[in-house]
Amino acid sequence: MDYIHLPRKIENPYWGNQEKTQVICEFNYEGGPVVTAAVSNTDDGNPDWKEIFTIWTSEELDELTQKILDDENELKAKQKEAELDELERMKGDSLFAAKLEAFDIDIIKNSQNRNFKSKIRKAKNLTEVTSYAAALIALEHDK
Amino acid sequence: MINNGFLYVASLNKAFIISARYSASSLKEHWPSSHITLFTHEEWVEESDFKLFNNIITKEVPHHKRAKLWALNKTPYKLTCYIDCDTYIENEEIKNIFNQHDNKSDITISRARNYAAAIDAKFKGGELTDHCGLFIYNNQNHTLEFMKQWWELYVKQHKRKWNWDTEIYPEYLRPWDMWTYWWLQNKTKYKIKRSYFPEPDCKWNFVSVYKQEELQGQDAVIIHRPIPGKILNGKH
Repeated sequence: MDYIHLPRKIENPYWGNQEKTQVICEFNYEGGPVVTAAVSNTDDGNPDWKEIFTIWTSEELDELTQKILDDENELKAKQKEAELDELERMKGDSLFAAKLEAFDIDIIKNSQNRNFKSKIRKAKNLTEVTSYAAALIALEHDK
Repeated sequence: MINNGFLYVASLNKAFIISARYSASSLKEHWPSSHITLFTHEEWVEESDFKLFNNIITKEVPHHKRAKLWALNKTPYKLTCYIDCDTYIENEEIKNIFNQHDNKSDITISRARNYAAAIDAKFKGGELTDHCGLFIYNNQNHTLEFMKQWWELYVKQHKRKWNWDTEIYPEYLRPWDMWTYWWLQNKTKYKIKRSYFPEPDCKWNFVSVYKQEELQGQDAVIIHRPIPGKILNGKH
């Protein structure tokens, strides 16, 4: 903890709670580490708290806090979108795999029934693939 | 010699012939009179394949992940559409595909999209711009020579018998036949004249991860969808 005697700057502050009795910020020590700190006022007056409010007003902290919340929300939305994309990709892969498997069944492979083969290929979900594949197999058996 | 036809190559993993059958079946559905040649291994050929493919070639087909390159200069067609196995045809506009070829060029191809690429297509010495999973090419001697060189150089590349200045051309390019194609087109006397499919070029080779807006409101004719791992790793 030798670095705490080094000169430091306070950076990137934002409110740590709704009551606005705490500020989260970074202490950037010259030639030392960057430490995240939670600063609150004290009965006898916390010098760090005072220092923060000599640099930023309460309104400026409101704006900085809102920006951080907006960034976090944007990141969460992007993560959610990526998760949904991945889910869609997996569903698409499963559907395509099911179609390839259906077409690899001998009786379907050998079938000249282009209509039903087309229905399997155009199926929108696994149930349709299975249903059309089963129907085609039944038709071929009945021949 | 037949004028126009499609060329599929299935080697190394049986998933590719399963996919080739699926793709060729969709092609015949939308264009029953299309002519299709399949290069594959004799032991993989089934009776039903002779109904689906017009021409099956098995003699000396190498068991190689880029057997496609070996097959390209052996095309039986004047104008060939090489098509990866992991594709399928969506509609009857496929009948117009050979009309998209610019007769002043030797090869017609679509642009690769960087955002959909498996690797960073831009590097210090250039950029891989052409998607080599589907293209139309003629059977002029110099074009077929290009295809032959593509295969021979790729084999050297794969076996690390061809090395390059990795400061300019990153080593991560090694597995890719697009890199071999780029090199031949940009750094050698074998260069052939290239044109692109008319815009939206991607409608003729729409990779499943492309953005829909790339189609500019038109319908994709050919979808390029990687074979799912379940099939690729299956016990076939």
